[in-house]
Amino acid sequence: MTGHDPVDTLLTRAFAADAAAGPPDRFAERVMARIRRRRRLRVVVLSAALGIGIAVTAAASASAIVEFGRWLGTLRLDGAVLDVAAALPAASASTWPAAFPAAAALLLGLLGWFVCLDEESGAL
Amino acid sequence: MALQRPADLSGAADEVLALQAATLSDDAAYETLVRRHARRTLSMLRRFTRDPALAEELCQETFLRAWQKLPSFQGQGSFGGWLAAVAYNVFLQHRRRHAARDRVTDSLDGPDAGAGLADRQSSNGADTGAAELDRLLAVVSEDERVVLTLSYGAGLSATEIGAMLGVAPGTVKSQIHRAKDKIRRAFDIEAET
Repeated sequence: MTGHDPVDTLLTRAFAADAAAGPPDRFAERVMARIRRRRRLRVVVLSAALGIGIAVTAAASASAIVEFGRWLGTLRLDGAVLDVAAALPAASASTWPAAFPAAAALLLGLLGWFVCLDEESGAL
Repeated sequence: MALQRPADLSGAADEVLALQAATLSDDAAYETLVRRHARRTLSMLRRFTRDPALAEELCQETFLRAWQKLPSFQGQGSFGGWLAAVAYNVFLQHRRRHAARDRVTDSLDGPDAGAGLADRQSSNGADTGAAELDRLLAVVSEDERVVLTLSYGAGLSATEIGAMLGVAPGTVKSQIHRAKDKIRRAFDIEAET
């Protein structure tokens, strides 16, 4: 697309003159500042996800421990070994629904954190 | 491609800097790339948008997006060509988001509108290069303007432009040819002998 076509010459000259205007002052600095801000924001968001995951897991674990203790207490007080079959599903039913999402949240949080760390160190 | 020490950055090839920025999270390397390509990218986006303020905003977005996508730059083809594709996608995304507003803007476009813009810029003593380009591009269609900008502004080949726009290189060449014919006729320029 070079050659001696006058329109070619005109376009090449006009685009070159237009590009000569250049970006405003400190354009590169502003871009880099936005990149650093975006990076920091990602760390904050992922840290928050990890924090929430840990908090939910801790709460669910506490609840599960309490439930388990209650179940053990029922066994000891009643002394009814035959009740184990009935009590075990009941304990599981109250513990697992809370434990699953909590564990998933924790895993996602940890995964996010590692992805974030990897990106920060340039591993990705 | 050996990675460069910070002192060598100004002379390093784009592809080396991109690799360095992607693998080592080297901000200095990326900043060098931004300085090197900001002028051309901004000019290109000014042509696409015909709005200097919006072009600057999209230019920042382009470099931000390019930084996020750096790991996907494999060094096949030039960094400039890859960046032009990122800029074009940023522009397209913006246009899709603001489709309704753009339809109104487009209806105001055309040779007279473009010439008016050029005249205003000239009379204000603003950049005459931009004014001349506005005047030339005012007579071509939107698609032709994009193709001319990618070709003359970003220095991409018909094959690169075709790959970017999803059309055959022959189509790109004929669009360029048609656009040049329109300019030739509009400004009464004699064809090459």
